[in-house]
Amino acid sequence: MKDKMTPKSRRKARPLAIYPLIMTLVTYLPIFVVAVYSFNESKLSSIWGGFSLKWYEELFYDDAIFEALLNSVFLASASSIIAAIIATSAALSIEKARLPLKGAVEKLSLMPLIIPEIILGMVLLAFFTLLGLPFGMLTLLIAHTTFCVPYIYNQVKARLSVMDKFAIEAARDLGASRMQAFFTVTLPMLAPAIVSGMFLSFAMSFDDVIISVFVTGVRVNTLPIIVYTSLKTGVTPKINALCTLMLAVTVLCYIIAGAIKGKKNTSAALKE
Amino acid sequence: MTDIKTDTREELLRIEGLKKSFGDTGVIRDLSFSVSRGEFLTVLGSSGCGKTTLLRLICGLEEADSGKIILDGTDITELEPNLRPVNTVFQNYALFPHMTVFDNVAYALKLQRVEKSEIKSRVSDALSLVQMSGFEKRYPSSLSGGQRQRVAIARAIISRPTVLLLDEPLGALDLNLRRAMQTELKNLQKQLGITFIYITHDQEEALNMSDRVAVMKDGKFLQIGTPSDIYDRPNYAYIARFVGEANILPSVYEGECDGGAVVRFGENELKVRLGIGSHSVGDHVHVVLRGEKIKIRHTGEGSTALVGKVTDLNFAGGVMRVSVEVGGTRITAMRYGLDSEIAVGDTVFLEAEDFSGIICENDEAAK
Repeated sequence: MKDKMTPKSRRKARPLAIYPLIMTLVTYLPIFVVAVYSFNESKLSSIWGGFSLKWYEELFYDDAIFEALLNSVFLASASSIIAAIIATSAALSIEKARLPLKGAVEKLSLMPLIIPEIILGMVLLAFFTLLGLPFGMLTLLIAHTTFCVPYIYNQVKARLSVMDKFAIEAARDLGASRMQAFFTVTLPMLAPAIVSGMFLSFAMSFDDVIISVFVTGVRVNTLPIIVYTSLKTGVTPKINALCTLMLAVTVLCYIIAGAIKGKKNTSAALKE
Repeated sequence: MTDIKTDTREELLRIEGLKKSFGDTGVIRDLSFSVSRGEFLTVLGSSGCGKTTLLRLICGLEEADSGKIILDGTDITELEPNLRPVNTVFQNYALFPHMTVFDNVAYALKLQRVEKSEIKSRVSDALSLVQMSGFEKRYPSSLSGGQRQRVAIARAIISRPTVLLLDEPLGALDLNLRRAMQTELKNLQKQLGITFIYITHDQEEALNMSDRVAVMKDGKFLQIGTPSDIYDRPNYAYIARFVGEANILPSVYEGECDGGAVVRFGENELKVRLGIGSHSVGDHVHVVLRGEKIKIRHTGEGSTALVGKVTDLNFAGGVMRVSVEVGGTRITAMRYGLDSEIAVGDTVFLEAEDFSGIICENDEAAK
C-alpha cells in the first residue's frame, strides 16, 4: 500500500518545484544580467562584444570612485564598530536592569528597523541642521551608526537569551574580577553575535543610499551615492562593474555573518 | 547518638544570624550554624526552601541583608566573590562553552598567574582525580552530562578552596550515574580533606554522603545532625516525612515512662521516645513510627498490637509496602520480599518494639 502511494504523491509534488524556480529567476535574473554585462567589451549594454575587464580597470583609475570607495569602507567599518559598542553595552545592561518600561525601551531600540529610511533620513537632516553640524563624514557616521545599532542589538540580545549566565558567575567564583569575567567569559561568549551583527551592519551601511543622500555634504560621496547620481548621466558599463563589485562585497558580508551565526547556533544547540 | 566526630574538629565556617529577602519574601530567615574543618555537611530541603540562596550568600554571589559569615576567623560577609577562598560546583555545571576542558580547569590558576608548567601539572592532577584524563582538548559541548559534571568539579577544586560548595551537582544525572557519583564525591572529599557544603533535595544523597545533614524549610534549619540522628530522631513530623517514609500517629500524651513516654493511640497504649518538646498529660502529640519497624502478623489476639484492615499492597522490588487502616489512620509497614500471605481486606495485627516510635513536633511549631 505504502509502496504504491509514494510514487504517486511524488508525481503530484513535482510541478510545485517550478514556483521556487520562478521566484529565484525573478530575483536573480536582473542581477545576473548586470553582472555578466559588466564584463562586456562593448560600450553599448545591448550588444555583447566579448569578455573584458576593461570597465573594472577604468573603475580602478577613476579617482572619484576610488575616493568614494575609501569613504564607504571607512564609514561602514567605523559605524559598525561604534554601533557594536553601543548595542552590546545596551543589550547587556537592559538584560540586568529591572526597568518599569523595559518592554517599551526594547521595542523603541528596534524602531529604526521599521521606520522608513526616507523618514529617518529626513529626520536626521532636520536634526543635524538644528544642531548646526556641518554635513559631511561626521553626519554620515552618526546616521549610519543610528541604523546599524538595531542589527547588532538584535543579534546580541538573541545570544544573551540562550547564554548560560551561570558561566559568568562561575568566573567570578573562580577568582575573576568583574572586568576579568567580562573580558574572559562574557565577551568571548557574545563574540559570534557581535561579529555577525557587525558584518550585517557593514553590509547595510555599505549599500545605503537613501539616508546617505540626506545627510552627506556636497563633497563627500560614498559608492552608493555615485551609483545613484549616475542616473542623471546614464548607466554605463562602468556603473555595472561598480554595482557588481558592491554586490560581491554585500553578499560576502551576509555569507560571513550567516556562517558565524550558524556556528553559534550549533554550539548553542549542542550545549542544550 | 554521639557527635564526637564533628564536635572535636576545629570550627571552619560560622554563620551568624544570616538574613536575606527578595522583595517582601524572606528567603533566609535568621540562620546560624557552624561547619567544622573537613566536614561534609548536606543542606537538605525541597525546592524554594532557600538552600541555593544560602549557598550563593556563602560564595558571595548574593549580598546578605544582615548577619555574618565568618570563614577561618575572617569575616567575609562583605567580600567580593572572587576574593573568597570558596569555590562552587554549579547546578548546571556552568562550564565555559568557548574554552576547552583544559582551559576550563586552568581558569582559576591563570587568573592567579601561576606558572605554565605548574598549571599543566595541576590541571592534569585534577583531571585524573575526577577520571577525565585525556579530555583536555575537548569542548564542553562534546561531553556527556556526567563528564561535564566531573570537569566542573575539577575546575572548582583546582585552586584548593577552603570550602567547596556543591549546588545539586548530581541533579541532572540518571539514577545509576548519580549513585556512582555519590560514592566518588564522598571519596574525593576524604582524599582532598576539603570541607564540603552540599545542597540537595534528595534525601538518599543526604543520608548516604554526609557527616551531618541540615534539614532546611522556609529559610531556616529545622534540625542539624548526623544522618542517623535525622532519620531516627527527627524533631519534626515534616523531617520524618521528608527523610524516608514515616507513619505519623496522632496520639494523646499520658505521661513519662522509663526515660520515654506513654501515649495513647486509639485503643492502644504505646511506649515511645521523647522528642525535643515537653508535653503535659492530655496533650495531642504526633508519634513518628518508621514502616520498617512494624511487624505484621495474622494472629495476635490479646496482645498490645494495633488491629487494622489491609487496604493496599504496593510491591516495589525488594520491598512490599502494606497499607493498613487502624482506627481511621493509615499506617504503612514494610515487608521484605514477595509475600503471598497478606491480601487486601485481611485483618492484621501490627507490632513494634517499645520505644521505636518518637514524639515529633508538628509542622506549625517549625514556623
